[in-house]
Amino acid sequence: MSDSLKDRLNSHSDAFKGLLSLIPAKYYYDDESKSQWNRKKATKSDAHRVKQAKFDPSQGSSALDEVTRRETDAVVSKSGADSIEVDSFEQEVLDEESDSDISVIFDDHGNEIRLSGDAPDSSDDLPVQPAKVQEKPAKKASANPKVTQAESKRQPSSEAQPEKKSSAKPAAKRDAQGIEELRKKLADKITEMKIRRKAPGTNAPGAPKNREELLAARKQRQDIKKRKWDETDAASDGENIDENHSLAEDVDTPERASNEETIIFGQIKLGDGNKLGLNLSADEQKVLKRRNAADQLRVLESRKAKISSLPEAKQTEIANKAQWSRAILQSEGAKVRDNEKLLKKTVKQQQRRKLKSELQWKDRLDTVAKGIASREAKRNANLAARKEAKFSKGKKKKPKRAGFEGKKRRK
Amino acid sequence: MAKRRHKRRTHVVETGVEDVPKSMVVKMGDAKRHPTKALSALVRDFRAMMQPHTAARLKERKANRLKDFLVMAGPLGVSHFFLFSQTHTGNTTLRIARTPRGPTVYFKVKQYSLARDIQKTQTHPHALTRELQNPPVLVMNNFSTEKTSDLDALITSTFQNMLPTIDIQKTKLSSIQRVMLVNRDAETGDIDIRHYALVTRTVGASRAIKKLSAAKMGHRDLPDLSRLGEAADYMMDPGQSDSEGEDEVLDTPAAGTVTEQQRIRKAVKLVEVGPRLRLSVLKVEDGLCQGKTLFHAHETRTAKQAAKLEDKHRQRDALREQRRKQQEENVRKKREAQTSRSQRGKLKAKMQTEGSDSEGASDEEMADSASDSEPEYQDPSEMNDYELEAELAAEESS
Repeated sequence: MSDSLKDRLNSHSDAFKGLLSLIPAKYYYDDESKSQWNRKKATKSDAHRVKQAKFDPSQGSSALDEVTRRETDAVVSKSGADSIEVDSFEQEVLDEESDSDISVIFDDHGNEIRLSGDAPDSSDDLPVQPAKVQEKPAKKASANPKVTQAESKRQPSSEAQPEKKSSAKPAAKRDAQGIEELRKKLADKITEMKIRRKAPGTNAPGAPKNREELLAARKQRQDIKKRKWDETDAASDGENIDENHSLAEDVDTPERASNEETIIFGQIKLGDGNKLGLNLSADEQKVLKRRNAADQLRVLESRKAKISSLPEAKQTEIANKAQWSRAILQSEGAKVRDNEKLLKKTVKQQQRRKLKSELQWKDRLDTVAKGIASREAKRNANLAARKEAKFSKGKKKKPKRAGFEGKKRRK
Repeated sequence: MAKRRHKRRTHVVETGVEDVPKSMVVKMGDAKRHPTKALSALVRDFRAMMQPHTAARLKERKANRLKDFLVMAGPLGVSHFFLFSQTHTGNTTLRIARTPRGPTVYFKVKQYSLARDIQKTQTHPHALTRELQNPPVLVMNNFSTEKTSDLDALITSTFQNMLPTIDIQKTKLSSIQRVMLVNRDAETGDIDIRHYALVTRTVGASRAIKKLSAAKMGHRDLPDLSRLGEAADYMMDPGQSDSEGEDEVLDTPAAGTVTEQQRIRKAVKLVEVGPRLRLSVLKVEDGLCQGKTLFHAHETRTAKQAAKLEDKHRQRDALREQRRKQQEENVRKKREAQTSRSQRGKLKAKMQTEGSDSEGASDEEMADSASDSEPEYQDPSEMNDYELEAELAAEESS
């Protein structure tokens, strides 16, 4: 044990480092969860490999290693004059790739780079990590093509690759080149389309950068879709006005087949509850659509607006027809809700009821919480009292036993 | 929280009960105050026809108005009103109204015959007993199945929906025992209503056998066989020859080709029980005996006239609404005055008792004050309007 300050600091630092070395790097930095939303589903073989790699002691870097590596990276990148800061996560991925048996990756321009000397014919394991390989060009396409020194150190030099390739058969090489070209084209096209639709993960302006933005974009899209749907719905409702049944809750009435039969029976119902039409044909049955009050009100208003835009004569005609269809529906026992005033009242009432129940629920939660707290406090107090009684000196009177010495009757 | 227990086995909520149309057949108007015997009988017969989902023994009082019946219709699940009325000149009308918001179809009852009269004309009248436990089957003749006009559609729908729906899979054949026939005269457009009982008769058996089988079924007593020597005497008796030829609706197949059981077949026969009604459509209204007139057989309105009428109605409704509001306001004021007065009185009494305690006032004084305060307070509900108004005016001025 030395007394100097430096030694002491060093020893503390060692202790921390020791602890740090025990933490796996991925838990310390937690880089994965940051990009989790952007991750593609791994293939089965890929997942298997990752799982196996997890148990390899030489593979997993400790937090300490990672810290030191990042420090050196920072120093190097600062020293590099106009090099951009390379994403450390990307480097890590690259490290993993170089360690594992990846045989091919793409460079910045989408060109293939062969790492091992495998013949391209044995293409079974060619797309080893398709998800990652696909991601590469997209990520790097917009990045600065200049490679930092640190990266170039780890990455096998791209100049070495063509030499190895040239040793393979010429025919196979031609095929490989053709495949490469196609692949490149495909990759380019995919990136281009991704950028055009501002897909997450691209650097296109307006593309979601994080999870919140992604969710917001998704919600916006859904909203647009819903609005569009509502509009078409309302429009189709408006179109029905000219036909016979309009102002009641919508009734689907298919065309009545002409029939000379003039005998009509009472209402006849099938087992499923559907009524037969006047011709006793099942396809003529009427299906009542029930809307909630708010929807009904909206439909009614859109109809009203549509009618008001029509010429005067048409308006009266529609109103006349509506009266009769309403009467017919009512005689059938349908509830016709075409009174705007009443509907508005209903909507308001429903809203009030909902609000009230919400408040009541909140109150309930409060009382429950309060109850729990009070019970806890009481318990604590009891425990404290008991403890105190136990440890306090002096004998206490024995409590009277119920039923022997007598218990006070409650009044 | 524990879930509340619900009894599901013994307390089954019957679904679909609301679908069954229920009705009240009521005398209204002059007919209610001074009903003729004939109309009362017609109402009775009509109720019998509409059984079992009708108020068969409904007692209208003179003071009862349509509103009273309507109030009860909701809780009782009554969906239709059949309102008979008669003017002092003898014109009878029938209104078929759907509760609670209409529409109402007004019919003029051109002719009617009571069940009693119909039975008198028959040699073998049929008395309805068990048949009334099931609703009649509606058969409408000469009504177009296509939608030719709104009026036709409405009337068809009105008749179709006033009787319960027949569920093909559930309805028992034995439950169909009556028929309500609604026939439309193609030329005049009048509507005839007839009411029949469905009767089945054995066909293809000799009269003697029929009598025996009827006795076995308990429909009639055994024939007197005491004077006969053997069964052949009964069977060969010429007095038992089959005279009711009209009963045989179905052809009897030749003997020997079928078994005896197949040979005895049943014929379905309709026996009219009444009442008979001949109706013509008079008017269709939007609401329950109120609202816009959608159709009138005799009157027409130009668009201008209709608009004028509508305006008039709107004004009337507005006035009515205004009066209602004013009345509510008056009642509120009255109540307020009542409470404030009583409170004032209490306060006064309290103060006096306190004062007497502190000052030791004599009993005489207390009695005096009590007698003073007495006539001042009067329950406003006991006052007549004039007094109340005077009171209110006095209060406002002070």
